[in-house]
Amino acid sequence: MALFDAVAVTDSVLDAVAGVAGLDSPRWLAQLLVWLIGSVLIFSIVLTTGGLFTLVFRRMFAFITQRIGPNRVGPFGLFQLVADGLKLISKEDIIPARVDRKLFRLAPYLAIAPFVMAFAPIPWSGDLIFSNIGAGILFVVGISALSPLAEITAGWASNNKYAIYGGVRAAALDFSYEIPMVLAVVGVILLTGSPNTNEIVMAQRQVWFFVPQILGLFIFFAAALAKAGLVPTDLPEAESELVAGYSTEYSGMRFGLFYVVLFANILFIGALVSTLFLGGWLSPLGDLHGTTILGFGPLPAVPVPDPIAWILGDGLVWFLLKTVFVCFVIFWLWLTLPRVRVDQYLNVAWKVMFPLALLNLVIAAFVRWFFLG
Amino acid sequence: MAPALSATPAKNGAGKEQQFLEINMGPQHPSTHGVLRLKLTLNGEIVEDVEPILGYLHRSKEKLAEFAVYLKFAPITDRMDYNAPGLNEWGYILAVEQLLDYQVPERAEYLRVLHGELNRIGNHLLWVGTMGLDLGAISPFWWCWRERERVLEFLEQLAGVRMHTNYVRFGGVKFDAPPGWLKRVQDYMAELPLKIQELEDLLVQNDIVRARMIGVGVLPKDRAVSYGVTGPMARASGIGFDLRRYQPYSVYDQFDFDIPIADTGDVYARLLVRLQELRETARIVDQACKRIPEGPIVDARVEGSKQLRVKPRKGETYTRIESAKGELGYYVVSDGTMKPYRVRIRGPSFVNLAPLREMCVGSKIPDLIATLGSIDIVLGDVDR
Amino acid sequence: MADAPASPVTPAATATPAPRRARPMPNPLTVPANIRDPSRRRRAPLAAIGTGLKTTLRVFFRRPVTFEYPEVRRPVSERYRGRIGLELDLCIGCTLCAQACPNGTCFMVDQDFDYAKSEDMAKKFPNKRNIFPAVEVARCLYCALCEEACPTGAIHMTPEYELSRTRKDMVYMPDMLQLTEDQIDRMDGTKVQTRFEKGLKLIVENDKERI
Repeated sequence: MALFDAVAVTDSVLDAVAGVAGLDSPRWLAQLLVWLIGSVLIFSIVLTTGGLFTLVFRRMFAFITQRIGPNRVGPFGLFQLVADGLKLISKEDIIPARVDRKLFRLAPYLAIAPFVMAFAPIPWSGDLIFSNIGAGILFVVGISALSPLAEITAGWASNNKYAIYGGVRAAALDFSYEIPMVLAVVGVILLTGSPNTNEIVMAQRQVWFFVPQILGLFIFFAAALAKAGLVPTDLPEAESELVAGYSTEYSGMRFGLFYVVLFANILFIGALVSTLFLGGWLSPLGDLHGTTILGFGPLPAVPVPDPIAWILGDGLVWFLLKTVFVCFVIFWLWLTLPRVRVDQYLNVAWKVMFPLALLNLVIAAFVRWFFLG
Repeated sequence: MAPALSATPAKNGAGKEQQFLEINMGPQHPSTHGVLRLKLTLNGEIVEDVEPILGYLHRSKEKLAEFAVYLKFAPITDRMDYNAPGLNEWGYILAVEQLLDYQVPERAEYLRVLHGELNRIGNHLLWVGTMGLDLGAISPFWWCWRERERVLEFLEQLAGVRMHTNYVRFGGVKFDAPPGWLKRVQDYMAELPLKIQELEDLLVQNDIVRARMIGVGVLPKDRAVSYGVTGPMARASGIGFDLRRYQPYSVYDQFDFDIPIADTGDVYARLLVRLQELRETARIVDQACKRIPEGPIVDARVEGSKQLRVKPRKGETYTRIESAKGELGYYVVSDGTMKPYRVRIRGPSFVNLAPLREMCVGSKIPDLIATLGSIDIVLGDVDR
Repeated sequence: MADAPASPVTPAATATPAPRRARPMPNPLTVPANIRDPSRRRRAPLAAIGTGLKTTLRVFFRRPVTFEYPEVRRPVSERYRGRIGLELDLCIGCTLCAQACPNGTCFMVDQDFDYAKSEDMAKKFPNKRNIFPAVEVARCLYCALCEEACPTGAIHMTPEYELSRTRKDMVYMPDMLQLTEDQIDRMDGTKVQTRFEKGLKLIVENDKERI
């Protein structure tokens, strides 16, 4: 699948424009424009989806509790997130007197920056990917390892005992679950042979990776939930214990940023799980052009009109469906399960998840050797 | 005066002295069930000392009682244990009735039982919901509130307001059951066990809940006796004492119900006991609806505004009832006039809160939260 | 306290409630536990989480039970105790309501508003001192003791519960306590009953589960 080369397109557009003026457009201008537009695009998608998910969560929470949820502001309550955002922006920016001012202000940006960067290598479709770097998933894992930094910074800078508790708990959880998560990812890389995200997706053409790596899926999911601070492991922000954990002293849009990052994290986990284990943008019906499924085939090429092929075949629609499904499962868990206790879950990380992740690695190696040559 | 700590922190890696962290939980906190202030001394996540500091909701009710005639104190007792208001005023009225000579008609007794047990259902539902919240489960809270809404509706149809009904009167009750009310309550009691089953599905068998609750906040039987703990908390520790069985007041000896008793004394046992008590209370209400006789609802000698002018004989009495939290006792001293001389209230939450330190020292913060929630305190009852 | 009154308590005057029927009860400290622990049955480690998820999903598809206030208001019952209302014609200024009020919400004020009873009302319910009760609505307990105490039925509870005002407006003078035509209409017995029954049907319908 050819990847959409944004730089080439921009270059040709710039050339055409410059050609009218009779000038020669430098190549780096196209590159710069693509970077700028791409960054703005990622930011918008991430923040908007984060905001949207707060609304989706509230509606889902309402239906699960036999209520209605926000439905007055705009159709189906869609403008509720605009209303909430405006409300948060217009609040007084309270910075308590004895906090570490630089760190206090820095923490929300530390939360969002690596997270948005980690979105870049995720393949939304066969040719839609922000940056198709060779080290794809390793980059993602590495950058998202910076997330505990934001939580610790927020906790420490707040000069508040509750916040420090939140920050320390977040640090402990994040570091402990880093290793099982990475090992689960390594299992997938073993099966693929390359950490490039697009190649991971394409390697699942025969069978989606959750079949040989069901253990890996479970470990990755649990570890990602722990790192994101989502129930059943929302300990850093345990509202009934620590008021608001590391974001206790934050108000207004600074708090809004932490909150939106939490929900955008859900999208992130959904996207990662579907890329790594659920076949990314691959359709379960094959690409309708005579591929094999689960080793059976080749299927006869199905002559379907193009729009239907676009929906039913490989592509963006399936990626979105899978991501939304995983996000739904995350919300479902959030609304059902209580919180685990800190020490219990850390125990689980080291005594259960870590050995299971190693076992998973062995299984992955075995599968690779036996089935994939 | 805080007692000496049981341990001092070890020196840290650099050989320097360390200090325990002293932090205040409350009075404003999302999960101290009211304005309770806990002074915690923490060693990392481990609780070294817990000192409850009370009085943030003290409204000097016991002194207020001395200023007005007997009936005017009844609405004020409603506001002590505000999760189950009807039981408070029943206790008070029962206490003063010991010093009067009125005969409560049978129908009024049954109505009192219905009123009280509906309040008890409301209280236990509230507790289950907030216990889930303390643990992090946000859905059961709303389901419990939905059921509680039904109960409050019934109380509104009966007495006029949903909470603080001011319904029990000397020698009877204020209103008779409106037409159709008994049947509606009975129908609801058939639905309630299904909802309790849903709550059980979500909470009781859940692995995470069991890991959070089993073995947490243990109060052994002998310690429970020595603290004077009563109510569902005592029954979870193995003390099978229920005033409705051992000292039946009103018409409780005519109902067929069991008393759930557990023997582990931890938070999980309290959860099971209260869920089972919900079922037993539904049984009582169902039987009361079926067996209620016809008749007057108040002793004819004290109808209408004569209630405001009751004059108990000189004397004192200690009367206790099984309120939703435990043994609620009223010690009323009368000097023969229309105003009480002294009313002393034994609040069950105050006594049940006492073993908190013993249950929590050595465990972690989340365990402290779970234990505090499981005691089922309401600050109106602790501070009065 | 130097000269506290002598204690009114004499030993012979103590009273405790006698149990209605004495029957031999087991010692509460040795009674065996009888709690039914549904999770004592051995199950697979995370199966119970599946049950919880199933329950949540089942509730997800139930009809919401919200009354969308203010477009839809839950009807109140006949006996509902809302704001205090006063029928000026019936009030005889006996001050019993003010005496019955537990926290001094209801207090008597001189008549300084424009109101004169009609001839026959003034004869049947004379208010010699021309005083009427005023109510500080923010402090009212809604206990209805004033309604019980009133000998003529002048002061009573109305079904009005939408009482938010600014702080200064919370003392309702007697003329403000009167009911408007609309409120009297809303208190009409048959109309209340009809609204109430409609509301009951709505509530019961909302609860029909789709199992």
